Amino acid sequence: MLFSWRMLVLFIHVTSVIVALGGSLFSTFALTPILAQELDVTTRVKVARRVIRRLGAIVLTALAILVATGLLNVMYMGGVTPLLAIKLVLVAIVIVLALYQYGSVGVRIWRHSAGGPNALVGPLQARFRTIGLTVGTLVLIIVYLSLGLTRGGLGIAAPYID
Amino acid sequence: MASRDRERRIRRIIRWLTVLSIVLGLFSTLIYASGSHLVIRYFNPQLGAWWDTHQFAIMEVSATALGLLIAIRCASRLVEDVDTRRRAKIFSLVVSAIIVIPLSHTVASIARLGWDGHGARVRDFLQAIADYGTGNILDKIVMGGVYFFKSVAFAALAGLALFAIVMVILMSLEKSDTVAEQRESPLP
Repeated sequence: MLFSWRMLVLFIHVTSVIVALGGSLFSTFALTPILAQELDVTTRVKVARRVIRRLGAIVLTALAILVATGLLNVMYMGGVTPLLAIKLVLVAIVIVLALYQYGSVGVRIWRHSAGGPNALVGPLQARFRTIGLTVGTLVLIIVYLSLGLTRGGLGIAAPYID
Repeated sequence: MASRDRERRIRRIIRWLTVLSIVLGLFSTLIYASGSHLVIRYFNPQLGAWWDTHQFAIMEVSATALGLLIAIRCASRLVEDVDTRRRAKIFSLVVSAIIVIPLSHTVASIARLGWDGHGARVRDFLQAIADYGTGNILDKIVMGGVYFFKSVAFAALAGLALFAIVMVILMSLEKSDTVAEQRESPLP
């Protein structure tokens, strides 16, 4: 069948992963190094703080959609396996880390860089990058677990009890 | 100073709501799982009948509310700015109050899945350590408890997602400052 509600939910779920992971990887491995090479410090700080804000909105929205569609997917799957439970715990950790990344470290970068380059921003940016890489790695593990659930035969639904 | 006071007041409200949902949730789970609504019915038939009709809904709404509140409490600790944290808490609480009943239906459906993998083993064990009748009642209480905690866990996950959306909204509301800032000193 070309269209079903389950397919639509799955499509939005996968798209959210692509947006969250792709955005973070692009920012970490493409945008940040190029900004460092091509722009002077003042401009780089201005651009970087705006990128952090916008990327934060995109990544957090994608993660929220990921959870909402994920819960619907669980309903469609009709069972909670240990593998799915591990995946859900990892999702919770990813959201907590993303909230820390953008709500705490990102806000501090935003505040300290308001008046231009600041010595405090460097270490914060390094921490921001580390958390971003951790989030990216965890999301990749989640994707791998999802493949195990849908393709690896590990997602056999437990008996339905009412 | 005033914002600190307001922050403290909101923290107190959230703490009270958390305690209320824990007490109500555990009480309704215990009564529901053990079938003790008959005791309430014995003392007050009308209240007992009302409780019997609504106990599952009360249990689920309490579990969902508890999950949402735990998520709000945990996630708000990650927000650096006091004002943003306070606004995020208020916003999340309002949205949680709106979605708690519809979300409780979803959470109830999801939490129902998957339990019984080792259900028989748990029941056998409980019947072995207590007698048959007591073991059966204990098994129902354990099952109800697991169901309650699973509901809390799923609701907490939804609460984290809700808080993330609230943060995005607050961040985008701050964007007007950014635009003004840009106009003052445009990028070269």
